[in-house]
Amino acid sequence: MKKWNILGLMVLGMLLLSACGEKKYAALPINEEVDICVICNMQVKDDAFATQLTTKDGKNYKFDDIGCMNKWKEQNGSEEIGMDYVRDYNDKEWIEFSKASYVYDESLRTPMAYGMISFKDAGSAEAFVKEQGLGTVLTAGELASHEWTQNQNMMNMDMMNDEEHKDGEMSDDMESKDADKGMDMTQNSSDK
Amino acid sequence: MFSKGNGSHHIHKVRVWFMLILMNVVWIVPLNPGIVIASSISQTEAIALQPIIDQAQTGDVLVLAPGTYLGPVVIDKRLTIRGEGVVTLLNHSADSAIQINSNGVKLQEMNIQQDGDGESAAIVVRADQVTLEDLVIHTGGYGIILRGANGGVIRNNIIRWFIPKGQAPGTRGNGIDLYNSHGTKIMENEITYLRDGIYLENSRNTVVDQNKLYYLRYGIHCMYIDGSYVTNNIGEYNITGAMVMGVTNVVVSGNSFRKQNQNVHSQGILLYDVHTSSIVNNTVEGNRVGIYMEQSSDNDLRDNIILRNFIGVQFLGAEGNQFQSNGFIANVIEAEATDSKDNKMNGNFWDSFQGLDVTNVGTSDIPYAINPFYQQLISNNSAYQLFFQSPGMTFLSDMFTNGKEEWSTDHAPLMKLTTGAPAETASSYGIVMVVGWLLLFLSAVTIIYLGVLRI
Repeated sequence: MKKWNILGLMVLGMLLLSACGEKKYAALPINEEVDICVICNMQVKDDAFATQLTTKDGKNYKFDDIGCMNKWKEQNGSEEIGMDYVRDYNDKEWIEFSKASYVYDESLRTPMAYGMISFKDAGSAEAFVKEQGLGTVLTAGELASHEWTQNQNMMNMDMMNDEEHKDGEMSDDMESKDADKGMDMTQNSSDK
Repeated sequence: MFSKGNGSHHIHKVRVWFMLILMNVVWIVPLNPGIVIASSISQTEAIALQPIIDQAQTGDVLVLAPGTYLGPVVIDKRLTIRGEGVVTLLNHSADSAIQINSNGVKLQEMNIQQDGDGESAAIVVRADQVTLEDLVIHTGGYGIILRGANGGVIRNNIIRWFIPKGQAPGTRGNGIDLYNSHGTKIMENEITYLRDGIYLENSRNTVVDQNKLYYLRYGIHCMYIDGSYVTNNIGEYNITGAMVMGVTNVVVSGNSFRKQNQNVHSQGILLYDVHTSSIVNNTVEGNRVGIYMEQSSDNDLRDNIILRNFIGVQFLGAEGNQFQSNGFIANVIEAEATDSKDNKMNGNFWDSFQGLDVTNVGTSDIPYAINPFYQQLISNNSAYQLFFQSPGMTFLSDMFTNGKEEWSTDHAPLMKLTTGAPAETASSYGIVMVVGWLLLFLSAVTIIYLGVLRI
């Protein structure tokens, strides 16, 4: 009887230990008071643009823009990453970086102007593109070959041109509700 | 109380005086302009402003009769609207109180109250050469938004965040928010309690001059604003005074950023991805970090006064910058630098540094080198911050001389500070000391003569 008890304990112990060895990653909540982007030092807002990664030794880094996380990966490599997360644009749910779908357009406004937003499935990404009438849907794999430029708005344009502006009323199809989503799609077109 | 006789009567007299003083205080408070606006709203009938604008001809100057008006309004012809300070425009809707869609509109001397929060703004400008002057704006969300609006002038406005009556506090927006709006002049505004005081994105050749920025997230937040000037602004109690990111050829001069120390990530001036810009003649005082510079190159940091900060300057990956004749006074840590080589540092004054000037030229013959040991240690494991300034840490730092030639080093530190600012603070300290001693003396005398008698 005693033997069986000891054996049972050992089995239980083994099970417990093996459970410990299995690494579980979870996305941490954003605390706007203290979280700043590891790359650009800006406050990480608790919004759909926030991203984070946890390294294999348990360190968590938060970013205010997917572009900043990409920069971290460029600087530190991807081998040490345990799990990386992005958020769904619509409901801010944390999703694994590799499982998310992405939409890029240079006119999309994100905190560091990389113009990349994330969705939990290809369907909602396509729906967004359809609704906005712009953007390209990308998979996580395709992000590797993405150029990651920050939209600095026609930097190559001659400065003098800025002064010459069409007189009169501008077409004004942007409502303040558009800005709600942190984007001003029409701004670029109105400046051309 | 009166039964106690003369003594209590005397006390009563004192009480009356005290009450009178208190009442004075109560009378003074309503003179504050912000409160007057808020209290006068409910009494008067509001007049709709849009019909008045619709009747006006292009080029008209509208001087509004004193009173309370109701928004939202859209201005789509060139008008000058003046309120002479006695006009209040209310807007309870979620739209902007004023939308300006026509070039050359001028808006002056008005009070504007925008109840909406979040992304809603008191004024949205989508046209060029618009002037906004002498306005007092209370907003639940944004203050002034410029989108694709070039050559505007925003001068002498007061912008504050407020909580509309009977509403829960909303989400703050930015005070003045520019996107894709070049050549704007933002001068002499006072912005408080909002998210970012002045937010500039993709707006080149902007002038931000003599603004006062208090209790904000970032006083001035610039991204991609090449060729702009951020000059003579004052910022206090913000998380960061000036956040300058992703720019080239910007001038940040004559600003004073003080007391940015409430948040763990507070700093006076933060420079990230800043190139060929000049950061001169600024004063950073009492911040967690005076000037923080990262991933920035070929800038000119000169004649700045770095006073009483926790960390004076902090460099990370900053290369090829000129760092000259800055004054470091009474900082806990003067400078930290990691991965920052090829910076040309000389002629700075480091008050804790003991130099040696054998040749008597005013600069020390011993260089001042910034040891990156502690920074490197805590960047690997932040728990080591526990050992901040501990004897063991100081000892280890002194032992660590690996790659010393690549450390940021001031090769000719100044022996004496040449600028005038710190001398003033020294003399004011003298006064404080004298007053302190006097008070101590007085209290001692009082205790001896009165305190002892009672017992």
